[in-house]
Amino acid sequence: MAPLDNSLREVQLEAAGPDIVAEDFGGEIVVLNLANGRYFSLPGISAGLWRDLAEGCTPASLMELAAAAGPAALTEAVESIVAGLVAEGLLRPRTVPVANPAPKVVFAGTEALPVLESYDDMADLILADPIHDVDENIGWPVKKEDVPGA
Amino acid sequence: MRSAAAPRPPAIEDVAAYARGLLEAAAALPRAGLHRRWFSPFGLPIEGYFTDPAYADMAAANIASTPGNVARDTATLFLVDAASIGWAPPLHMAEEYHRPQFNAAMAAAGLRSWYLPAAPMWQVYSPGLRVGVQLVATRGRTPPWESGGPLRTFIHWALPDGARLCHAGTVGVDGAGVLLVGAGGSGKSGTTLAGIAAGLETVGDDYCIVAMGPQSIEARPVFRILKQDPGGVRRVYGPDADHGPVNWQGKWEIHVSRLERPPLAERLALKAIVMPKVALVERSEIRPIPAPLALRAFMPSNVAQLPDGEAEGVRFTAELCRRLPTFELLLSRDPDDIAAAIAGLVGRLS
Repeated sequence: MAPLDNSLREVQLEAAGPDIVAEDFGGEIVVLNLANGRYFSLPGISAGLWRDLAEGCTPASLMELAAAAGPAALTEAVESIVAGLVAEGLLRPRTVPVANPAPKVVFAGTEALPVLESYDDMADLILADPIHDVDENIGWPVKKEDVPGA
Repeated sequence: MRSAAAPRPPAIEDVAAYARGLLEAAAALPRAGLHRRWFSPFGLPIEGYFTDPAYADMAAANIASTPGNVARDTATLFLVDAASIGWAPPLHMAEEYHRPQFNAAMAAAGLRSWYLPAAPMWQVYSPGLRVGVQLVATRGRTPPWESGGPLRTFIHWALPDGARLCHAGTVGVDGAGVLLVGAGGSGKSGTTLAGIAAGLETVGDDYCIVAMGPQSIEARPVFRILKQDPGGVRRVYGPDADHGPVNWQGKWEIHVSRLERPPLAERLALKAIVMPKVALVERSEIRPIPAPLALRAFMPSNVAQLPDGEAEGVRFTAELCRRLPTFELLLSRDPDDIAAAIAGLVGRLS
């Protein structure tokens, strides 16, 4: 994953519009981008990062916290997760800034690095063009390549 | 029968105007020549006016009407073909439309709609007026899956908040049961079949209505059809089992009344979400799984099998996964063993 754009380090972020649906299960957050059908799993620390970012913590504040708590790899992983969330269109700069909250994510006591897992199996169905992307004989929601013999 | 109010397709850019035109034309249709049927899935009052009496009879036979306490006005649907009523054939759009853009255009007009190019077929519903129209060119041009789930999209659109059409199988015992979730081919239908062959109940092997109340979650039947692979049916009921020609998916559509012990319950109080997995193990095994894993298995088909309302679908599916315990079921080859495993789980959770 490319590093986070410098211009975003001190910027508060928010879910990038109504197409972004995040479901919090405590130990894991599942985020779906309805614009492209891709969805993501944010387990453990990653879920904490999402919550803090959604609350208005800046990427820089989270990276500083990570730098104080663990090895350089942890800070790099935090930066990579934030960069990934922005690159996937899940987070964007806040339109209305909020007072800077204190991060709640806890880095100490875990050796696992934060990860962002992505899934594509819903994308084809969500994006099935109602005119062209369906099998002529069967129709949506069966994609052409899913039809035996197609 | 001819109608003077035949809708004329507007400019291709304005799909919402075309959809609204269909609703207005339907409201002006003389109803005397149409075939009227009543449905009440989940107690939801639906009045259907059909141009094709065979389609009307099929829908009446295959939609499960059950008592309910849905405080809703009647939804009135017109299931028409253009040739029978003198309308212009359904607009066949020649330009590409991105599904989210199509849905957004309809939502901005206060409508819900689905355009199916292969037929072509238009379905339009006004939640405000509780009126819907389905238009095809001629009789019999409805899609091949209609007999297995008639008026599916309209039922989805007409359901009240807190209830949703779900793409899931169900199996239970004594009014309590589990929701079987997963992608096509994961074993939902086979698990349902194993259950009903062993005397368990179901409210559907492919679709059901799930209603979430503050204290309980229940599943209700929506269709009286089971869709089963012939090989699976013969494994359970013997090599002589025969339910006629297969449908567009290569499956038998079996009306529940044709089974020896009609298994369709009026409702099942849901106790768990179960993700079957074809494992061919010696004994079926049920193991807890994290709720997000169940969501990831359930969400794609549960959300994308319906043409709109994706965000609500994700939230509803996630809430189900949060409120119900979630398991995976490693399937053995033995239908009786599979049924016993589910009955045991339901018993432990009830």
